Amino acid sequence: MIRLEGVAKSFAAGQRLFEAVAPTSLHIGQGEVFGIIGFSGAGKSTLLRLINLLERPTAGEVWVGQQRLDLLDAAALRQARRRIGMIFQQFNLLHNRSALDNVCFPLRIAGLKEAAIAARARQCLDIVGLADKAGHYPAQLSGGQKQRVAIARALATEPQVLLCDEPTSALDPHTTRELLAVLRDINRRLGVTIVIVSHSLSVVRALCDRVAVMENGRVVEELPLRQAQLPEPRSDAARRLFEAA
Amino acid sequence: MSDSIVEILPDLWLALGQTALMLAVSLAAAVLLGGPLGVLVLLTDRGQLLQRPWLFALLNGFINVVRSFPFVILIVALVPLTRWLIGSSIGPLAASVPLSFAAIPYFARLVEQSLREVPRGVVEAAEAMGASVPQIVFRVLLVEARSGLVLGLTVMAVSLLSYTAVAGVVGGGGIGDLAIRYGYYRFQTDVMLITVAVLVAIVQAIQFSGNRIAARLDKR
Repeated sequence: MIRLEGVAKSFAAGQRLFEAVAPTSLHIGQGEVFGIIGFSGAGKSTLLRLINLLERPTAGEVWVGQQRLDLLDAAALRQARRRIGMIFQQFNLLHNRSALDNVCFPLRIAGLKEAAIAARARQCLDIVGLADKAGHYPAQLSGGQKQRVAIARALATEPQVLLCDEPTSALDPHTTRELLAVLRDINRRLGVTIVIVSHSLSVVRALCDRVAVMENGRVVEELPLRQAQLPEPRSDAARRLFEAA
Repeated sequence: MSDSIVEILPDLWLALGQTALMLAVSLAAAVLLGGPLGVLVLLTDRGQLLQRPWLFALLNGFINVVRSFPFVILIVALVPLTRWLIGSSIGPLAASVPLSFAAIPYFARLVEQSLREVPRGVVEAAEAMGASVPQIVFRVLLVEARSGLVLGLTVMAVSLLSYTAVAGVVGGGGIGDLAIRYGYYRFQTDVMLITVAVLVAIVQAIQFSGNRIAARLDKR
């Protein structure tokens, strides 16, 4: 579903070139839940943002489905992005729009008919269990509810892929568990491929089929997580992450 | 006291109308031309959606230069343009030309500042959903910044009201002109007080409505 082939991202930092992501290849299967874990500054968010080209790679190829995204022009990229949902640590909802209007947003910019938009948006709020909060503004919702509105918004255009950038880092442990249940449900029921970035092993372990461990812009290890026993990490970074948990 | 009030009432009504005309024209120019200018100067800045360093420098410089002019000088400097546009350099409509000229970069700057307050992440989320630049401007930036925009417009309306008094000196008319002609040149302190009271009332009304509308629009 998602193929990164030797993607890299470097920024000019003054005179020097800072390599946020070293050339990296990842293959993520259809319907898989894939985690990217690492300490702060490891480059995991940058790697995630390369998938929908919020960060443009300085090298390599980005494939989602059958499409190579890094070669698309602006209009085609906008079309492709409608098939890729994304949620963020800070939710990034429109504060001056109700929950329902937030979910309508991606449908309106896609130019759908207004009647279809309202129906689809209500359906998405229902999926995340917030049908009764349609008229509320984000300021009237709790953190967990805001993130669920963000998920509903990301699902509105029926994406095949959902990118999650530290989706639970602003939430308390209880709300985190609830949110992980929503994501798991979406993956099982709708077959959406999920890529989730987190610094928390428990989050990744609760949700993911596989995890890539990052350090200093490199994926140092990929581990399967489906068996009951955690696999023995080989890399130093993974060992430290596992100890911290 | 009461005699002079009755005496100037017709003049006061006329002056009110002239002030309203000058404000209406310059506010309309500010919104219609200054608004887009403000959006453009933001979008062309470094790190923004339409990053164009030379265009940003040009627009930003234009705004700063026009805003540097003392308003009286702007009135005089624009006389040829005013004559060409209106056919005269005297009267409220003529005074509206320099007023508009001052209001456009003023509002552009206020718009730019308000839009900068919109969190980067919200714009990024819209980009991730496949929104185009016009969609981001009209459906994200202007919507999220709307209460700040109304407050900016309010501040500017009050400033423009005091500018209209300056315009009065060079034959623009209006309430400020009335205050200067009767109150100052003819030493009619009571007329001066009345006109000042009227101006105070207008400012209060503008600020009150601005605050109310902004509060109602703000759901953050």
